[in-house]
Parts: sequence; structure tokens; C-alpha cells
Amino acid sequence: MRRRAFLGSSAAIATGLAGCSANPVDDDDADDDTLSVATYGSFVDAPSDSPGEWIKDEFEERYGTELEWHTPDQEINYYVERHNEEVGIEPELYLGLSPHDLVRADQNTEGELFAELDENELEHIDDIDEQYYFDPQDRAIPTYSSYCAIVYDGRTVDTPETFEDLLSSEYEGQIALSNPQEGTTGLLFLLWTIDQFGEEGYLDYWEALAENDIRILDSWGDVYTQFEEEEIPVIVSYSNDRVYAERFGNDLEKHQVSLLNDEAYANVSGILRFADGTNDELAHEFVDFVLSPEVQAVIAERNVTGPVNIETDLPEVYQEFAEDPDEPVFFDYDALDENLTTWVDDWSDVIAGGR
Amino acid sequence: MAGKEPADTEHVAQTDGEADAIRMNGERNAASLRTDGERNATSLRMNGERNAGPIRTDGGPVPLTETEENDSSRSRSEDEQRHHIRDAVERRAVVLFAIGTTILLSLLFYYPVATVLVESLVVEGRLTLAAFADLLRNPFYFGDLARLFAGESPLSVGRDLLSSERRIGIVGFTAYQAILSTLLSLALGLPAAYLLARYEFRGRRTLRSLTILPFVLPSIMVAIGFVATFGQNGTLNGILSMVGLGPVELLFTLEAILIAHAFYNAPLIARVTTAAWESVDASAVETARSLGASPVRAFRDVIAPQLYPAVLMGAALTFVFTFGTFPIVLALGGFELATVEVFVYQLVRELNYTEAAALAIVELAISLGVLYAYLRYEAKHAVRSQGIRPLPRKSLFPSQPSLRELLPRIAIGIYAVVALVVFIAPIASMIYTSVAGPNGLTLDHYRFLVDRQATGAAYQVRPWSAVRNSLLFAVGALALSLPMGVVVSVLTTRRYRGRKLVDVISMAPLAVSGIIVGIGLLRGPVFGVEIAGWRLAVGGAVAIIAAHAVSCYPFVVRTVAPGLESLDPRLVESARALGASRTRTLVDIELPLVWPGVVAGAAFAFAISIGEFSSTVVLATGTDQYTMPVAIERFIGRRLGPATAMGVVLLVVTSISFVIIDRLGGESFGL
Repeated sequence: MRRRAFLGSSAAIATGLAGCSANPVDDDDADDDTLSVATYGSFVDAPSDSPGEWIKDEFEERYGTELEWHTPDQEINYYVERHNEEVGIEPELYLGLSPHDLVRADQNTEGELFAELDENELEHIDDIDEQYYFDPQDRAIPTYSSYCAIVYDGRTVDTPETFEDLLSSEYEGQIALSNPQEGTTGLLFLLWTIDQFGEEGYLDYWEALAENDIRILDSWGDVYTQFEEEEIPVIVSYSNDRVYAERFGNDLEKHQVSLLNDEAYANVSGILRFADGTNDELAHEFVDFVLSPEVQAVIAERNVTGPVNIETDLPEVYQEFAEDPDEPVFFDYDALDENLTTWVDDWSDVIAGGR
Repeated sequence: MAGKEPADTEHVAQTDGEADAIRMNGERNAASLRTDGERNATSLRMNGERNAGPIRTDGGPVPLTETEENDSSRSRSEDEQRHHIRDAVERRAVVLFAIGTTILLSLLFYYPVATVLVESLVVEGRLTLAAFADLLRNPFYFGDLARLFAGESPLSVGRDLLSSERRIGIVGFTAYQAILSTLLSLALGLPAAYLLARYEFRGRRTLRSLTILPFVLPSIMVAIGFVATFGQNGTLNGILSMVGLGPVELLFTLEAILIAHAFYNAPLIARVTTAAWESVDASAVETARSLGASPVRAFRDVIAPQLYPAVLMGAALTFVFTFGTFPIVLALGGFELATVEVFVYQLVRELNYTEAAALAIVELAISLGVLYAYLRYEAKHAVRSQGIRPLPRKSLFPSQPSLRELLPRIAIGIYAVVALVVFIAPIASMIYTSVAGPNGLTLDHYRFLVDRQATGAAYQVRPWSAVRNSLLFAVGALALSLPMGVVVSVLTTRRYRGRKLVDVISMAPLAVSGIIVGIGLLRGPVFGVEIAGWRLAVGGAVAIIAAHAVSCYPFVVRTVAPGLESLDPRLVESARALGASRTRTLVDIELPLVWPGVVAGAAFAFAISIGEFSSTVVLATGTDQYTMPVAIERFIGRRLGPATAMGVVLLVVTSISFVIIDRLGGESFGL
């Protein structure tokens, strides 16, 4: 322990002085009292509310350990890079991985980046709704889901009810979404159209959308800016939009949600174990904690996402203002694995090619 | 530096002005040169006495080595010894800095970037050009030109390119919009330079120091400002409808992108051109006028040639930036107008490094090609001049209104209206958004910042830490990039074969895609290297400062090198012949003469560091190293308030900093 303390302090001094650090490569004696979990930034640090704060405090109190969040800017790609460069991965788990992220990570890693969790160690696993499982190799355990849907300004435009509605002249130049290459909502919408029109038909639909002057912007943030500034009345966002509108005291007439064809494309987020992980006990305790109905309800409230545990009591605000489809649509892992790159590339050819 | 030694520099300057006047008269005889040399010797001797430095006090041009021997043989007292060491260090300072710069650049730029770019050449362990061949033959990227690379006859390709059916591909479109953006930036930047360099009015200096403010604004802020200004319900349409015009639909068009690019880059052109204009020597213009040249003729023959290098440099940099443009294109234009960099980002996100690297190399080659062309021009058209006595400024409001006095001022008035709409309105809208709430004006968003500061957890971004880090990193990056830039300027303005190639390679940090640098930094310094069972890595505050310096220093080079290039080499030669070390010559003679360029470079360096995003997030070892742009990004949500409030904090902090830099830098040399 003294050696560790010494190394720790010397590394800290080195970091302070020269920005350099030196760590022993075979640092096996990992700290048993600290659990590191990786996730994306807004899960722990969003301007409204983020579940990460509550989860950290609650978990630390219940298990008498320390929880450390890791939120690298490149998200999962950061760990793919670490894995491929063979530099080891510190966190035990990654929380908040979507099927398309997992497909990309698997396609670009050699060897095992993730390992399977032991379901026998997870008390709540039996209450998880089967329909949310997306990983054929059973590494990802679903944790929550959100739904891509149309958000529109109910004061200025009619409700778009179907995909065909979006092609009508009423919505010409009035719809915006984020670039499917970069932004999650844009990709979810693209996948939704593929589900709707099939591989043969989706590009025709997109050509028609382009004809109708659909605006494809950089990120969800840009899209939402246009909506907030009343430049664009129809955007592709999430079905939980009214929960936020209610919270911020915004005009609920302006914030309307439409599920096209009464469907919504589901973005399931899973939690996965890094193969490099060493602390089996804490890692499983944390996963089980996240799956418990109580924590699921808190995530539903603070993250404004749907729970996956069927025993969860939905928070009131979620029940009242979030629109969840009866039947979520989404592509399974194998379909994405086979087609994702081609689908997106063909799409960008149609929209950005021809110049 | 020069600021501390007013007596000295003034003396040199005077000498120089005289030398210049003599040259203007064409009297290049030995006598005049001797005067020149003698005066310089006096100044250097004073210098030497004060420092007990490397210059012999008994005068006369003695070779440096001899001086050294004499010094050491004369006395070996401790004091002398210490001076001796200091002299030795000083003499080699340029070399030492050059070595340091090279190491830093290799560690934090060339090596990391190479680890990514090499992926386009080595696929599955084999060296191949297949990725490039595929890319060049892809009409998606290269349009009709791709058929040329695929082996079709140049004639038929040429015919198609001239027809209305031509396809220019993503790369062609990117270059096209970059050229248009550059032209628009010139159109909006040059009048500003004219106003700032030639007229005197209240707040001129403040305005000049604030010109490059747009440089630091994150694209999301600019997007918010632009939607509010140029949108359907925006300010511009409001004004137009008042005068019975409009509405104009600017958003989601190429024009919106061009205006946004001008918003970012016209200030750059204005700033470098102003610096050049302020360096124009009044005596040369007066000579021309006394010889009978009209004001227009004097401008064309004397002033304009001294401005071209700066104008072209601003244009070349604008081309490079707008060629590598990314988020703003999609934020205001849309995916139909996507540029090369959009696809580099996509490919990296998809982890398709082979194609991403190949595309980034094509992008880099085009950008560096343009910079190289500019550098060749700069080298050929260096104007030998030292602006000692700047042109006197005219009052913006003339005492006797005549047509000749009024015309340019009316033009300035029209320009001011345009500038108000393009530059001021978006920033004003941004500020307005930060105080707008669902029920009228509110300070809620600023309260959010205060709350976040008070209650934010250690792993969350807090506003004050972001401000403090931004300032700390920017000051550090400035302190590091100024000497780096000056040293590289010195090395690339010496005469040797291929120096322009060295120059252009040293400009690469301006032109390499940010996401490629990010991945490279991960693989290089962040992950580190394994040596004898230990993993050595670089990260944290010091690494961020160094990485910022790497991004900043090309600006210092570009603002300092043209001045150094145009200095009369005899100045340096006489100083050196008289025994001054290279460093002392640089600090006492050269830098004071190019001071406006140094100050402009410092302002740019500061701005680049404040606005830097991609390396900061890669190198930060925790949230306590996050900067203002990172905080803005984190505060983006369904309400525009929190992010814009942070944006206003960024605006205020950088505005104050720019004014301070400008005041510390002095008006310009000699005043």
C-alpha cells in the first residue's frame, strides 16, 4: 500500500509539474473500494438534470464504496482506441451504449472489448422486458430506452401523422433533423424510414424529403436551436420532449409530439462489462442496482427515458407527458451489423452527392 | 523584450529611418553605409555596456569567437564567468528554442498525426496506395475529375467540366465555397482595415483589439446568433420590412454559409491588413507625393505593394480555414452543402480510419498547396521597408467638408451598416438570447451558472473553473507560442534552399483536420509509450497548454515572418558584424521593427487558445481542466439560455483580454 501511495503522489507531482505521468504497466492491485463506470457526458452533466449525480450518491451510500464517472469526449470510440492500442481500460462498465454503437465497436475491434456479465449475480434480470435485448452475444444488458419522434409547434402547423404527411407542401422547408452520420436522432430517424419503406424504398422517400426541402443540420443542438428560435416548426427529436417543456414552464402548445403511424423508433441503451475489468463483485452490484425498479424510476424521471424493468412504477410526470409507442420499432444487431454502413453511405450519396 | 528598453530601440529606429531615407534617395554609397553602421555600433555599445554583454566596449567589428576568447582570458572572476554562461546561453537561445520547438511539435503534432495518417497507406500490414486510388476515382468526392483519375481521356472530361452538367464532387464544392468565402471575407475585411489604419476616432484602439472576437466563438453560438439575425423572423428581415423590402430567406443556403465564414474570417483579414498598413512608412509616401504622384498613384505604387502580402496571407488563411470548415456548414447550410471535413468526421466516427486518413491527406495537400503558393509569392514580393513613422491618421469627421473628404466617409458609413448586420447583430442576438425567458427578460440563465458553480459536482463542468482554465491555458499558450513563432519565423526567413517547404510544413497545424489530431493525440501522448514496464504518458494542464501553443504558433509565424523578411538584411548584418548575438539582434533590432505583427500574432494566439476545443477535451485528465468552449458545449440543452449565458461570459472575458493584450503591446512601435 505504501508503494502505491508513493507512486500515486509522485505521479501527481509529475502531472502537476510536467504534465507527464508514469504508471507501472502491470498494475493489477486495483482499488477494491472504487468502481469506475464510463458513460457519455450528458448522463452525468446536463444543464437540466442528469441521473448520474443521484446514482453516484445513492450507490456510494448503499454500498459504502466510491463511484467514479468517466466521460471521455469520444465516448465509446475512446475505449475502442484504447483497446486496439492495447493500453488497458480502467472502468469496469460502460453505461449507455446503443445497438448501432455496439455494432461499430465490434466491427472495429480485434479480440474482446466487452465480456459477458454473469446473470446469476443479477437479482433483477428476470424482470427485464425481453423485447429490449439487442445483443446476440448477451454482453449488453438493456438499461433504458428512448424514442425518436416528431416534435412540432402545435400553434403553427398541423400534426404530421404519417411519413407521407411530411412530404406534403405544408411542411416544405419546415422540417429539420440532425445529420444521421453524427447525431443520434438523425440516425434513428433514418433507420426508422428504412424500417418503414424497406431497403428498396427508403432512398426514394429521402429524395422526396429532400425535394420538400428538409433541413439536415449538424447536431440535435442545432436542430433544437432552430425550433426554439421558431425558425423551423417540425423537428426530429425525442418522444419525451413535453416532459422538459413542462419542467421549464415552456408553452406545451408549442411542444407537441407525434408518433408517425403511431410508432416510434426505439433507442435502447445497454450496460456492458469491459473485458479488462477486474472487480467482478462491484461491477455486478452496480448493474443490479441500475436494473432495480427504484433506480429505474429515478432514471425515468431524471433522464426522461423509458424503464426496461417491468416492475418499475413510472413517475407521474413521465406518465403524463411522455409518449411511448405501444410497439417500438428497431433493427436488431444482425441487421445493423450487415447493413448500417451501406445504409448510411447510400443515404449520403443521395443527399450530398450529385454536386 | 523591446517594450522594456525604450531608449535603445528608439535609437536604432532613428538610425533606421535615416538609412531608409538615404536609400530612397538612391545614395547607396559607402559613406552612408558607414554612418549607418556607426550609429548602430553606438546603440549596440550602449547595450553591451549595460549588460556587460557579448559586445566589446572598445568598439569595432570584431568576430564573435575572438571576443569570447578575449573575455575569458582577461579575467576569470566568478562574476565574469556567470556573465559568460549567460552570454553563451543567450547566443544559443535561438538554436535552443528551435530545438525545443521541434521537440514539442514532434511530440504533440507531427508524430501523433502521422500515426493516424499512416493508416491510409498501411492496410492490414501492407503498404498500399489503394485507399487513395479509390478516393480519387470516386465521383462522389471528385466529380468529373474522378474519371480523369480513372483513366478517361482528359478531353472528354474537360468537355464535361465546361458543360452545365458538370459535377465537381464534394472536394470541388468545398474548394468552390472556400474561394467564395475568401472573396466575401476580403470584401468585408479590407474596408475595416482601411478604417482602422487610416482614421482616428473615439474607441478606435478598442475596436481594433476587438476585431478578432468572432474568432473565439463556438459554432453553436454563431448558429444561434445567425438564426436570430438572418432567419425568417430575424433582425434583418425586420429591418427590410420596415423599408418595404424582403423578406429574404438566407438560412439553409450557400449564402448563409458564406456570411458565417466571413463573420469568422473577415476580422482576420482586417487585423493582418491593419497591422501591415500601420507599418507603412510615411516618409516613403511623402517622397512619392513630393515627386508629384497623386494620392491614388502613391497608394497604388507605394502603399498597396506593402499591403499585398498581408492581404494575400489573410486570404490564404481564410481559404485554408473555410476549406476545412465543419460544424457551421451543417448548422446553417444543411447536409446538401456538406464539405470534405464533414466526411472526415463521419469516417472517423465510423472508425473507418483508412478512408478518413486518405481523405484528410487530400484535404491537407490542397490546403498546404494554397499556403505554399502564397509563401512563394511572399518570398518574391517582400518589400524592403521598415515602417518607423506610420502614416498620420485622418479624423473620421473632417473639419472642412469637401467632396473629396466626404466620399470615403460616406463609403465608410455604408460599410458600417453592413458590418452592423453581419458582425454586431449576431453577437447582440446571442446576448439577447442569454436573457430571454418564456415570460420576458430574465437572469435565470446566469443564475444557472452561479448555481452550477456553487453546487456542481467534481465531475461536472463549473463556469468559474472554465474561465480560470481558459485564461490560464491562453496565457501559457501565448507565452510558449510567441517564442516558438518568432524562432520559426527567423528560421524560415533565412536564405536556404527549400526554406519555403519547411515553412509550409510548419503551417500544417492550421490545416490538419481537428478530429485527426484528436485521435493522434490519444495514440501518442495520452496513451503514452511503454518503457521497461512503465507507461509514460503526457496529459493534463501542461500538455493542453503545449497543444494550444502548437495550434497558435503558426499565426505568430504568419504575422511576424513577412515583416522579418522585408527587413533590410544589412541591419542584421551590421549588428552581427559588431558582435551582437543572433538573439540580441532579434530582440533589440528586428522585433521592434515588426512589432505590430508581433502584437497581432499574440492576439491571434490568445484567440486560438481560448476557442480551442478538440485537443483540450482529448488531453484533459479530468473535468477540472475544461475550458469555456467545453462548458458551452456541456450546457447545450433544450433551452438556449444556459449555453448562451456561458457564451456571453466567454465574450466578456475574451474582450477584456484582447484590450489588455493590445494595451500591453503598445499602439505600435515608436508611438
